[in-house]
Amino acid sequence: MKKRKLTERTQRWVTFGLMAIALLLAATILSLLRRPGRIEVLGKIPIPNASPHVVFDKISIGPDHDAVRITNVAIVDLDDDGSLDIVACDAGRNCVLSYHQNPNGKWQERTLGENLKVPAHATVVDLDQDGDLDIVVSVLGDILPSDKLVGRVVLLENEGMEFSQQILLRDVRRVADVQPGDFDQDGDLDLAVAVFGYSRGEVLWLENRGNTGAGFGFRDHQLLVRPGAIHVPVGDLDGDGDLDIATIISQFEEELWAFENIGAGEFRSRRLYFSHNFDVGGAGLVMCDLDQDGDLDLLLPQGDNLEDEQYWPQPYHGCLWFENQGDWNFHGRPIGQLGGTYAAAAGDLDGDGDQDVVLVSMVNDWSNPAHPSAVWWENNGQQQFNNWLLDTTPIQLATVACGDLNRDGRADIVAGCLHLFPPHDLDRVGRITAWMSK
Amino acid sequence: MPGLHKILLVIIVLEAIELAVLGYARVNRPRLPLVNHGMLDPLTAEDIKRAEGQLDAGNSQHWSEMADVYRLYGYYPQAEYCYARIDSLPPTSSDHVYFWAICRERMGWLTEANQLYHRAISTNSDYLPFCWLHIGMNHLRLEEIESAEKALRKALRIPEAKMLLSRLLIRTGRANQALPLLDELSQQFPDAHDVDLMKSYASSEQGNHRAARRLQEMALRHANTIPTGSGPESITWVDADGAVRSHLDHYGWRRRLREARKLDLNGQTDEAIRILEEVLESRWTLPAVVLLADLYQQLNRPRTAIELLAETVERVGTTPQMLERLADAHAVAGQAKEALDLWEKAAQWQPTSERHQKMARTYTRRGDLALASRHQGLQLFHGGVDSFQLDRLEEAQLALEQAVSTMSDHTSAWFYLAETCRFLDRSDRAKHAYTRCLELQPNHGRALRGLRQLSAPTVE
Repeated sequence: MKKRKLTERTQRWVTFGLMAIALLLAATILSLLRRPGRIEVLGKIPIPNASPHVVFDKISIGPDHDAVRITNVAIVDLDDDGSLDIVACDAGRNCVLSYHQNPNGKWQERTLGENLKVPAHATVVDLDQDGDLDIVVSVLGDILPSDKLVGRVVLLENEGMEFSQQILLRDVRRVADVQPGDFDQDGDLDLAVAVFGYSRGEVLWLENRGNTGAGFGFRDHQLLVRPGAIHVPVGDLDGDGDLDIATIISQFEEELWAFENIGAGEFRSRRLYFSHNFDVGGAGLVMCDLDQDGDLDLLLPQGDNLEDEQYWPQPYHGCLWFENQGDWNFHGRPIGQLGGTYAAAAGDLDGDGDQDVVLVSMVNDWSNPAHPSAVWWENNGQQQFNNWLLDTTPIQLATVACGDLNRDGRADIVAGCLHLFPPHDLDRVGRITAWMSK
Repeated sequence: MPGLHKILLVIIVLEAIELAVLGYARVNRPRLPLVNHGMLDPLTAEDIKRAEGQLDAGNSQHWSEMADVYRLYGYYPQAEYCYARIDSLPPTSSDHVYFWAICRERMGWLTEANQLYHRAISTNSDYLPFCWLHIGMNHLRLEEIESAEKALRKALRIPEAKMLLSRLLIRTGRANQALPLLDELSQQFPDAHDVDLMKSYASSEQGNHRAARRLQEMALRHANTIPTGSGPESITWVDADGAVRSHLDHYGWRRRLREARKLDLNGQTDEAIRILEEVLESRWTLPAVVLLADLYQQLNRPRTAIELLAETVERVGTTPQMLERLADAHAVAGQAKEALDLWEKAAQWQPTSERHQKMARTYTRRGDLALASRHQGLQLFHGGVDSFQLDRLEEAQLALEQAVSTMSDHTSAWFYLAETCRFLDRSDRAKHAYTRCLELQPNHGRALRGLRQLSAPTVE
């Protein structure tokens, strides 16, 4: 009796087992039939590792808004309270903003200037020399390629509680950058201007002719006729005590120029470098003493190929370092590669006393979430660089700055996102992001 | 063994055989590449998935279409994989080799791309001159100057090749060889400012700074460029890639937009609106917004059009063009004040003759003649500048003379009048206009330079 019961039970289990196998096989067949076979194909895009020694906390700065279009971030003590603030240009809302860190660690947003059509750069300087910081805004006028006369230079003059606006230059093509300096050594601040334009552009310097009460008077002088001037950093490149101007010309010309100040408001043009690679995509120019030898070097991020309908990271994208070897000799060599590099900044990220370099990527193969949007290059003190991943989100970073926001002696990083193209997955887009050293 | 077990065993055996057949087919038959459809808007992703589902793995035409679509949507590794599949199938044509090469070029595989361009050349491809152009460009990207020059010289039928070769020659100390090439381009494209500028670079290299200056000024009065677009893909688009690019019209929001336009033409406006609203749910794309707003207006629904355009400003940021459309919609709805505010803002950011004309008309209708006159003056001024930039100097002078008679305090109007008269060799009038400009704005650097050039000798 017992044996018969046992057999029945076994048979039942066998039945269940066979039915389960049959069902499992049927499900597998259905799954195979429904999903066509796929094979993974990869582009050859390098992905660095994160540094095991240097770690950052990532935070979002300020509230979210639609139309994420941050064109510039800068780290500066705007209100002179001893702690660093962030100044940003928002081309989605057409304004210049500041972010002040409250004692509780929250970032408070303040609008410094509105109705500025596509601000490309905000330069913080005491232009009227009254002891507080004003802002000179480079107004692009149109974020899309345009040769129209829509560019402007606008002064946001600090009047304590608010900033008043004065147009310093108009009737020019798209303005990408303005930097101050007393070029004619008459005691006031003049301005160097990059009129990017599109297929026509120029580099100017504006001679400060004083404030007549009705506003500043600036006289424009032309330094170069070329389309695609992005940045005009100012510094004493030849160590002769006066201020020179440098610029990077993009738009297929890909030339690095310096304007040597020869006194009395006169400049000598010097082409320091060009690339036959018309497609290299010069994306900006940073003046800094990278090797800390007492003279000013130049960092040239390359990777702006926004003219292509479907962009893709290229092997020649990355950053060049032009070492100032004196007597107007600048020796260029690559620091490292990052597809779609759009901006660079230098700072001591690991606290070892030398200058490291951060690069951010605007265009990459974003279909692979592992591809980097920001990397940093660790300087070993001999200007040899190790590549580390900083982050993979937010994507489409167009601007970056370094500064010690948390006052721990190491540089932190702030970057801004310019979301103009797919992907439309907004989870990977973020306006302003800071990576705080810890 | 009970009957049920026998039946189950038979089923299992049959299923195992089916599984083995399927598995074998999967291993041995070509598979589609893995694609992250999340990069696309839902409508486009849906259309691409449908095309993928209809792929016949033995049909090279199907692979070719998938390759082109992947490439045009920026899925380059996937496109490269498909082009390789076509290559492994019996040949129907070798057209794919050229596009395969473009794909590799865009991925930065420059040497590999050039190998394919050479292969396309060996098959006497229809795209032969373009192959040489791309080979030249890739050598330039690799900074291989001699090879670049050789290749570009074989592509001189294409204006872009002449331009690239000219730049190379100028930079290698051969401006004298570049200038004849650029003169040919000037004859072919007399209003191309990029040619003017390149010629100015050549003149500068030769030390002829006066000629360089003249060419730079000419570039400001020529509105066009040689027909290249701005990148290698665009270059091919002009002549060779047009058919491939038409694929885009068959996918995603572009397909729906085309459908909506057709429906509208056939009088099925409601259906067209339904499709466009569906497009906007998938992706807020400006061509769809513009068409939809027009259709709302057609159906006498101006308020709906206003809401749509206002939402667009919120979503994609404010542009002068969108502000103008919004203003136009307010004007149609009879809301003149709102329209004027928006036209004013659009004109502040990007003044145009048309925007000021609209304001002038509206102020005239409202009886505000002072403001109407001001905007008429600005309309004339911007019309004059437009004519100046198109090198229509007589028209420009006419408009600018009228502008300064309406707005005698307008610095820029006097400046452009002065420039126009200088280029027309009407020196006295030019001098007067520069002087008036400088009275109004003593720091006007360009006016000072113009005045200096007026008194400089003209012989080169």
